[in-house]
Amino acid sequence: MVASAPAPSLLDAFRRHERRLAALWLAFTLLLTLVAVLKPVRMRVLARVQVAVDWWDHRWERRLAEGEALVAAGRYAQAAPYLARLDATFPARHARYGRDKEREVLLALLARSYEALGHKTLAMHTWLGLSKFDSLNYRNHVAYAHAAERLRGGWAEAPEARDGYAHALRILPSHLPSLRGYLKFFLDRGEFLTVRQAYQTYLDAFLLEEFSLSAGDTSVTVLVLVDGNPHDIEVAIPRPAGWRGDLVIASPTYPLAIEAGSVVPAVGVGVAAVRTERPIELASVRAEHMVQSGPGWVPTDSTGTLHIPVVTDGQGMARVRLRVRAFKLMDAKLWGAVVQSYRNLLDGPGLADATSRTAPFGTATASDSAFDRLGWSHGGRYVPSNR
Amino acid sequence: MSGLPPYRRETGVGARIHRLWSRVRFRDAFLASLIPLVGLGLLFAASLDDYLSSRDFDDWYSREQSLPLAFSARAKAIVMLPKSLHLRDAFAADARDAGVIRLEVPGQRWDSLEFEPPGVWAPWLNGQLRYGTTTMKVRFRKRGDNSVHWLTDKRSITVRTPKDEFYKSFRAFGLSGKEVLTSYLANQLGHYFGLVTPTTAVSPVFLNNRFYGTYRFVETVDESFLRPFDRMPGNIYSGDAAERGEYSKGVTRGLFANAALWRRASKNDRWTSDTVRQLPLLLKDVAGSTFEDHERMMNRLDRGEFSRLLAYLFLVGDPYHMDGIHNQLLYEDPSTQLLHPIPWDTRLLPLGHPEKPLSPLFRAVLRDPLVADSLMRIIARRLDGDGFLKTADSLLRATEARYGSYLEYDRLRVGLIPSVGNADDARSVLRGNAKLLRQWLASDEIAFASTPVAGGTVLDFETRGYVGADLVGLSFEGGTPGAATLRLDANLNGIADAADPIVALRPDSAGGSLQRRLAQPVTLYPGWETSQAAVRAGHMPYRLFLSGVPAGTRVVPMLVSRATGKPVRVVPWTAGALVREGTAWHPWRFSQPSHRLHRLAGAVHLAETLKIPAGDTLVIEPGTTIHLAPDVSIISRGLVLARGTSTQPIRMLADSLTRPWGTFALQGHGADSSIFTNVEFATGGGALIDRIEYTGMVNVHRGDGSVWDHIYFHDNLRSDDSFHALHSRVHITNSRFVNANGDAIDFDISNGDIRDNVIEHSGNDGIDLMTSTPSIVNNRISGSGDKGISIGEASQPFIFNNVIDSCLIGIEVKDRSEPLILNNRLTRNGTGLRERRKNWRYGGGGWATVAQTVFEKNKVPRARDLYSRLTLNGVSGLDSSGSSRVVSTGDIAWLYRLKGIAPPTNVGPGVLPGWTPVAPELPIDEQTFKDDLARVSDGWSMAGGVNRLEKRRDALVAEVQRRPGTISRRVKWTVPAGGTLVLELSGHDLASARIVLSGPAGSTAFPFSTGGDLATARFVTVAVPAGTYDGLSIEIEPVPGLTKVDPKGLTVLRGGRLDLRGFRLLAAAATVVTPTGARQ
Repeated sequence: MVASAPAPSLLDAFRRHERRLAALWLAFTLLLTLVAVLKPVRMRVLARVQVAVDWWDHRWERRLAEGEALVAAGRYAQAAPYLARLDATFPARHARYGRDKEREVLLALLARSYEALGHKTLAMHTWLGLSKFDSLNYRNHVAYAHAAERLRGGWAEAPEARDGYAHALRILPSHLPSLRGYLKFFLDRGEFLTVRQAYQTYLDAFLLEEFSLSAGDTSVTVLVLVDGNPHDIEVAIPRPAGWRGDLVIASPTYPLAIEAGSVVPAVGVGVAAVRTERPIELASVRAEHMVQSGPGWVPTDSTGTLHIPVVTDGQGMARVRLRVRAFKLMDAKLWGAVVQSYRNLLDGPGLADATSRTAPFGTATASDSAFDRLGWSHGGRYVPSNR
Repeated sequence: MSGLPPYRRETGVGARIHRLWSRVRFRDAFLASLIPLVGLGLLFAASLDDYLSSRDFDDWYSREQSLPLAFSARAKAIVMLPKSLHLRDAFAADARDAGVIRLEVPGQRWDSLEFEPPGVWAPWLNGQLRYGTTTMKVRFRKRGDNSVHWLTDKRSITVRTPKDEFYKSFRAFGLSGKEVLTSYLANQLGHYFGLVTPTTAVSPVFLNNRFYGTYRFVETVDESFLRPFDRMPGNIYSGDAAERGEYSKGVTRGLFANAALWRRASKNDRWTSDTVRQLPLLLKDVAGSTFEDHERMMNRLDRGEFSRLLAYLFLVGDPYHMDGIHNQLLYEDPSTQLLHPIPWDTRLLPLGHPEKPLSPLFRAVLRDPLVADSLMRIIARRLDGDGFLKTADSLLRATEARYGSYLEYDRLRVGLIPSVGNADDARSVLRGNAKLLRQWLASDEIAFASTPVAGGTVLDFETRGYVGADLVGLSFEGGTPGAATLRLDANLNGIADAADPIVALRPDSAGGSLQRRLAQPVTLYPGWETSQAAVRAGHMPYRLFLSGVPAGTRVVPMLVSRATGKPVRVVPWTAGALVREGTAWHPWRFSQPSHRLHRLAGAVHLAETLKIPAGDTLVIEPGTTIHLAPDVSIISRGLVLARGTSTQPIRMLADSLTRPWGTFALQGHGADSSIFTNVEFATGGGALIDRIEYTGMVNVHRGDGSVWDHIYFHDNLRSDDSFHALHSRVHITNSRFVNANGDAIDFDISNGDIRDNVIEHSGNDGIDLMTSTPSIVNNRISGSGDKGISIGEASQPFIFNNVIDSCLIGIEVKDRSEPLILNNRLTRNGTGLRERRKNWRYGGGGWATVAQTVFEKNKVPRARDLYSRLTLNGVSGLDSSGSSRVVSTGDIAWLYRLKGIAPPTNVGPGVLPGWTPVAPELPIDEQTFKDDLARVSDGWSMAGGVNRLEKRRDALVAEVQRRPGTISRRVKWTVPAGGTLVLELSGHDLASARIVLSGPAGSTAFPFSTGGDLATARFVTVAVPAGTYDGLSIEIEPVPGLTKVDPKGLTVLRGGRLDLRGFRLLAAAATVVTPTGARQ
């Protein structure tokens, strides 16, 4: 009877191949060292590793997306604790961190979940946290103010809402939705002095906007102060002698009015001809995608343009001078309330001045969507694909 | 067996390896690989950590980071570790170098820079800063506008001292770790262009006695920053919306499109500054598209200053970083309301690789052709003889010589820390910029067309280069010019008309009858094109009309470059071609001085403010009485001649008994040398005009050389001062000031003479000085509601031979003011002399020198706080008892010689009954001390028992312990007829002291005593024998056996101390014959 030989243990196998394993191990070490030493290889390898690290690092965005999905699905009971946990560990502890925009979204989602669950105090606390997290972002203050309207408002707007709008207006003094909310607080209380003062501040707020002027194939942009007051602009748009066509001013956002215009003729080398400005006939100004409102033309969409027919004489055109008014955004309903405030204060001259500086949109939706057409108004928002 | 060959052990290398390998076990292989594997593992982990940290931020620096880069940087640092450690071991934390910063911070606190509390960014932390041999408490925080400043192993920080104590002359400063050498060079060069530029330096920083890194020291811009530039406190508008995660989201980020993004780094606290601020007005003008907008904008700025700024920025290659997003600092000068740019964070860049268009402000300014012209002329001067490059080179050499090894240490760590830059690269960049700018200077093409038309010839020019040209003459071919007439088309209407000025032509002696020279060259300025990233040469058309030239004559212009003075390249311009609009504003559109004469005579009633523009002249005839309606003013930017007589004085009075008129003001250098004699000003009230606040009934703002003689100022209402000078040099003599509402005379950053005046019953001060250096001589000041003379904010007046009587305080000296008070009499005042620190921004109290002055019958002779000092000589009545005993420490004849005074014989304290002015004598050598980042003791060295020698504020401090010691410096004095050496010093606990002068002929010693009060200095006067000297020493010996209790409660030895404020060497007194015939 032959006793069966014991099966070779792993240890035996290891001993049997120890030298080979040692060689492999040393080769592995050498390989790693070579990878580290040889720059082209190292760069390629580490770049691959970096892709994996980046994927891992994007876990915050993935978690945020999960939270967003929960809220979008209306599963607030799950969303609230999930987002609260996420908020506690989220890496952006201050607005200076790179994921500040994500954290803002996170806080807003959390606050909305609390609201939906009826946790008013928690919700307000979270909205407040959002406004404190980045106190320079006026949208956070507006969100807080809106929440205060929903959660703290009774028969009238809550003081927290007023403060939120006021804060937003300090950062962006020409923000119509904030002005609307701010004025509502005082209109409800019949405090017309404050309404007038706030509206005056809104009108005077420094706001520059770029307008595009074109004649034929030449196009230039010019900055105009948007405050409802007349401002002169002068641009060089050379046109040859005998040219006739439209001077086109595009205004996708703000209402506009042209009060005066003139053309400065060109001069030829060695040609001694009188070079005097000729006024532009404004009676035949034509608007496209703009409607008359008050003293100005209000754009109905992003393609709003004013067309000024120009005919050059034998000298052609060198420059154009225009006196224009650009108006801040306003809607008819709010403007009606403001007008009433001036009237209640028996401030006729003030009303006349304000009226000359206001060209309201028909509805709040129209004026707010005009604001959304501004390129810069979208800055600083979280766009998932950006990171 | 014996047939077998004998066994021989193989001894070859292969065999050895084989034998070695045969003994290797896995354990051995594992152990052998452990070191490289663990090393690689740690390296990888550290790199991963670096990379993940950078992922926390989202700015240009963090976006540039990658794992491979982080790994390479760590690996390189490890390779360089031995060398860098070796270098670091050689750095001594206690090296005597005034530029070294030594911070002491508990490690845990330092670490909290990284692990700060949630929601809190950069909290202030407590630490200590070693200041020479002493230590001061400071607060610090991390700084910077992006993660390069706080992600690496070398963090940028801001340090702030307590209000009570300054570090050197700084309350707050930044230490920036990025591009140290090149940034230092770029920013330091700004000082050579006459700009208001923050102090910058290269500073090695030690943290807890270990070298931490080389930094760029940069002064914080706030109100204190303005003081050394002699600027009035005013608004500094600061615009910074850089990417730091802390910008206003969803708004226009352009600083020049959004006024809400600006803040004020320094605030003008005057109520007048609360009106509409200038910043939005400037932004509106910058954005404006009309010439009127541009002219208004340029009136808010200093054209010359912007030319210098842009010349500097072009030379260093970085006109881009003071952009529309950040690095904008504008100081608003209250005296003019001009906005002055403060260069900030300038980099050294190749100008040929522009990264973006210039800021809207620079673009708007460069539409002024005069600016483009001026800056190119500045650049031409700076590049002439490579002056600019030599300056830069010397700065680099000095820095490398001083801190080369510190910089080298940082260079070994690049990757882990930001680059510190290197000198060769910097030189190369500057040379490249110089080369490109020389090409610009040679770009002077002018297109020219001469076209005969009815009645003459049209001369059309177009500048097409970076530089313009001067039309200096015309050459005629094919005919003699005869009575040629040249006109400018100044109104730009394209035709010659009566409004167009004639330019005189004169025969050219060199060119004969076929050439004419212009009496005044016509400047054809360049127009630049700045809308793209690269600044390009634009074009600017000019038209002139020539008449009186025979038909068929060919006209050739004589044009020379504005930058080089050489003839420019002229190209023909096709007749009939369209004349393009200039790429800048046409220079002929700018308003020119009219040089009109305005006369006021007889009885004049002014119902509205009269403004005289610069270039005009206002003459007020003798005997004129001007009645001004309430708040109506006269503001002159031009010359004023108001020469009344004693019998026919000029009077300016209110036409209302109850309400004051406004102000009479000279504004700007156009009013220089205005003259007022025998004028009476009464019941004016100050004004706010064109945003400039005039705080006096009569004001001079930035005007030099005005003379005010025999003026009677009285009863001003509402306004602070009867007479207010701001940034001016004025002479007020033989005048009378009565019942001033506030101060009778107020000098802010001004100088001149206040001589032979009577000042009575001022509501506040008789004379109030801020950062001013006038001579106040022979005045009588009485009954002031506050001070007779108030000397504040680093003023240095000479106060001689005045009587100050019955004021609340005779003289008050504040805030690092250093008056010389000589031969005065202060009597019956509440307090005779008060010294104190009032405004902490100056970093100390006053240090008055009081000599030959009598204090008598003052209720309190002297009051002084802990921050102030005093030098006394020949003063009576200043001790606490007010006794009339004269305390004299030596002869001060040298002081009279120095100030140009010949006193009568038997000079005693008090007012001199008769003295004559003589030419002041200049010292052969002198030295004073100001603490700075340059040198510890300004050439003085210590030996023996001296264990401390360093500048501290305004003195050289020497401390000696246990045994005698010496402080000394080398001198190079030759005094053939002997001389007088004067040292100003104080000390305590010194058993003996002596001055030793040494030279080839041996040494001479002069013993002296210091007194025991460190805060009271004295003059030590030494008669220097004729000879040559090469060494000046002061030997001091401490009082033995003294002890003190240190802050830790331990009893330690106390040494003696000597504070040397300075010394002067004068030649031996020549024999001076005084009017009384006495010989001195």
